[in-house]
Amino acid sequence: MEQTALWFLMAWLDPGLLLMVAAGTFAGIYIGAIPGLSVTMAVSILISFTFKWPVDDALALIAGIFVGGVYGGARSAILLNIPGAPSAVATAFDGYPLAQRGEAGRAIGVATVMSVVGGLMGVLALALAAPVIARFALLVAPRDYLLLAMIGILLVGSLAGKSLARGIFAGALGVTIGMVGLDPMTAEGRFTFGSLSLMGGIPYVAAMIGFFGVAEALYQLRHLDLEPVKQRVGSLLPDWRVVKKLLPLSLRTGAIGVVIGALPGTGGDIAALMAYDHAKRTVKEPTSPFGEGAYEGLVAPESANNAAVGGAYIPMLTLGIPGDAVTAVIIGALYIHGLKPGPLLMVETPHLFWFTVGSLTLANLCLLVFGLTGIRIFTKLVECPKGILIPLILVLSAVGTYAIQNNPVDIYWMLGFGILGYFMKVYDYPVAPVILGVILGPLMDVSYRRAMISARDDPLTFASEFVTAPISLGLTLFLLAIILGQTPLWSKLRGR
Amino acid sequence: MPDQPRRQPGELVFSLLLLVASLFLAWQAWSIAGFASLSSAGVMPMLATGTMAAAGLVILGQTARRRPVAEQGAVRRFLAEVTPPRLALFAAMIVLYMLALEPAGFLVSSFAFLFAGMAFLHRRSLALSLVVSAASLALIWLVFRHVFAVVLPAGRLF
Repeated sequence: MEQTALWFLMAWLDPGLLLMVAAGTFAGIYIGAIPGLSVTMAVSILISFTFKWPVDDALALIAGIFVGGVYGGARSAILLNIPGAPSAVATAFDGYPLAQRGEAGRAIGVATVMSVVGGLMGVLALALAAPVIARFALLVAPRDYLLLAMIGILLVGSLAGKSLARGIFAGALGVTIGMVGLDPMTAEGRFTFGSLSLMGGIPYVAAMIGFFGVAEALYQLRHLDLEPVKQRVGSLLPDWRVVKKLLPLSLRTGAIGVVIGALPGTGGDIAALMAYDHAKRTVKEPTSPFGEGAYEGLVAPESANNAAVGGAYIPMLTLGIPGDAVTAVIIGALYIHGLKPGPLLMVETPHLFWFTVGSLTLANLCLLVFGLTGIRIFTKLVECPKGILIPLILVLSAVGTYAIQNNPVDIYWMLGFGILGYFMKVYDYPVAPVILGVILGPLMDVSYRRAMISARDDPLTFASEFVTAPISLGLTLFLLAIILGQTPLWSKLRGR
Repeated sequence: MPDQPRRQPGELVFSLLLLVASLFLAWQAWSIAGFASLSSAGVMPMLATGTMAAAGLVILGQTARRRPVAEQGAVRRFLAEVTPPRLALFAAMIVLYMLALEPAGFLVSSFAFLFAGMAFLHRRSLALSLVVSAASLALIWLVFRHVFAVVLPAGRLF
């Protein structure tokens, strides 16, 4: 118990780590708020710089950026009606009308406090649930990992995009990219085309930066001429009576955020939209009608998306399955540091788990401080023109990709993925499943082959284990439900 | 189907290209180990690329069934909406920058790219572009080279 408390307090007591969390949270707020920069993009680029650092420093910085970034999107949603992050889409529905009414400062204050409430709920859920799930996860067989990975990719694909087929295509493309190189079990070349540079595989950081950084920067060029709306912002301190009144709603929507965030493949964006919908259905007398500046419509998504951060860490640390795109990237960071997220992570390196819990808690407290201060410099920075920002993103992307192995070929991969990602975004293909596929592809491959070898290459034995083992049966049914839920057949059944 | 979104210019060709690429990769996956064993190195690549090909076929069918945004002038609309001149020119600048990184070195190529990119995209003041690109590059150099100890291309020409 004493040891656990020490691990938890590591980031609080070490000035260097404290600085990392605080700097990460501060930077995350700006990254999340500046339209054109995303947390996923920032963490992807950051990983390439931090891979030589001690793992604690890297995890502390990433935790801060994640927490700050999810919150930061709310600020630009309120001030500019442009959600800085996908998880802040629902925040703009009522946040921007509040700003137009001259209540931008109070709205940001309420959003900050409720984000912290939600964030702390997420961390509490992580601390309580993860050790239990990890013990349970030790019973999970290789075929279950295969199913979990497929569920994660499918959920991200089907929920992020408009078409199941496009989501599946994107996920399978990612798995294929993840297969490039020498097979780790037999050393056979896969998709190497006789090229030596492909033997080691395609670095997933190049794919991440390409799909999230370069593609996004190119996509932003299509809307370069949009002028941001300027708002006057008063004091950021919230009306504490409003906070007290809305606390029960914040706790309810925070719980929604935790659960949605913990589901593999669903993140803060879905959690925020579901929480907004919950608030709309359950709050009978909002402060203003929903969509016209209701504080309830601001509180619900902000509590939920920050709660989803802690929730998203649960499947990542216990099963090695990312909760959303950012945790998919964080898994990449853990692999780079030689760690293997999954049930054994908590058995072999429990200090890392409790250190992460401590860092996330600290990041939420830093959020409270930074969220309620420094608005003047913030409004100036958020209005930074995209014409200045986009070339900078590309230079950082190039530096980040090159830093991994000092190999210019990686930069060409990044560029290629960036151009492909641009066309995918234009034609409504979700790019997040590609990255999940790249990261989970090798896990799926190894899990499938272990399961098949244990079934002695007999397809009937292999298939029967999916319905005879209780965990596998539950996961198989869940997977089938996701696929069925996206087909026209389900729509017809619901129509009746 | 009144609710169906219209097909964007170039979307059908993109779907077709993805399908062709998927089929090629599926053939490559088959050539790894064929159907020698159900746990061979080629099974997961075959499953992944087979899934890509099947999904690609469905997407192509769905895309073909949707009505295009405009019945005529698809190429002109593609050039104007999907790859507008500003995007195409900037993409060409990015390619030049990436190719110049090794021979010209990080500092020279990045400064040239930042200045040209900001002047091209921001189009306000050349002096501002010059100052912002120089200052931001100095900051990036200091932070990444000296704080993060990242090795950056030194350049063969200078």
